[in-house]
Amino acid sequence: MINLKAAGGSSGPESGFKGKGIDIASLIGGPLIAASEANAMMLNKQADFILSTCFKEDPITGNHAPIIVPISFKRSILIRDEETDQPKLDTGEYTIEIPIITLIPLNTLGVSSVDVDFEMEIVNQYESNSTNSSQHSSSRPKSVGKTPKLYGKISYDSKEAESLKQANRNMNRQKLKVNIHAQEIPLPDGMKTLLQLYTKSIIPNDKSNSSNS
Amino acid sequence: MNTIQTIQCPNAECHGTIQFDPYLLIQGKSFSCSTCNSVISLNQESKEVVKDTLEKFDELKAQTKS
Ligand SMILES: [Zn+2]
Repeated sequence: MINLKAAGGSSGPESGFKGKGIDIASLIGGPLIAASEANAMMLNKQADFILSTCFKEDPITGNHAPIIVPISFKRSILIRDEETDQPKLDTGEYTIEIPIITLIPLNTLGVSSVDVDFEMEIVNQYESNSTNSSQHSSSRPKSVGKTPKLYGKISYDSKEAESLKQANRNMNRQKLKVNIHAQEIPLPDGMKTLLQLYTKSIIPNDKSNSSNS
Repeated sequence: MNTIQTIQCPNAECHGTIQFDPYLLIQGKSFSCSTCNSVISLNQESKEVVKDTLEKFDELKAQTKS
């Protein structure tokens, strides 16, 4: 879990204390965009890992072929003994070739939730005229009217404030808490299909070690 | 974290699956098919490369979780 706390008290035109205040939409959108970028970074890292450790790149074509590892496979099947005409157990030991990607417990690590927590005092509300009504489309409802935009300033945490001493009470503290939770999320369908194809195509193709008992 | 992997049983006559833990596989443990009792285990020559890949995967997970 990443816990970001931003506190500040500058008095620029966008800081919230003077002027029209902070645009609430960007205050919420900022951490969400940051979380989305962090998510994309994690996914890219995993894609790079899969390509660099589970696949081999052909230097000429640039195609990636799966890295194959040999695995030992023993099976016992009932067969009919041609001499005695009785069923007997046939044990064979084979080597199967398996893509290494099917041996790795892959799962996607991604951002599962983002909590943006702050208390805000609305200091301004603007309405901007929408100009989308110039073209009339029969299939799309006309966008009419004004879009409200809220501006405010982040107030200090009221719960915390109760425990603060009177001297601190008038201090201008802004607090924005962003909690980002990352957890394992299911593999994308494309990746699942690829793994299924690989695991279903495993066959004992080297019978040179086969022995009958 | 669930590390159990599943592969189709390589026995052509069997339609079962083999479940295995790759971390135990590199330690030399073998896993069997619940339908036909066929057994898979890691070849000596594969151990190093699989171990190396699993270690890199663990490093990546540690990086992205921090
Ligand atoms: Zn089987």
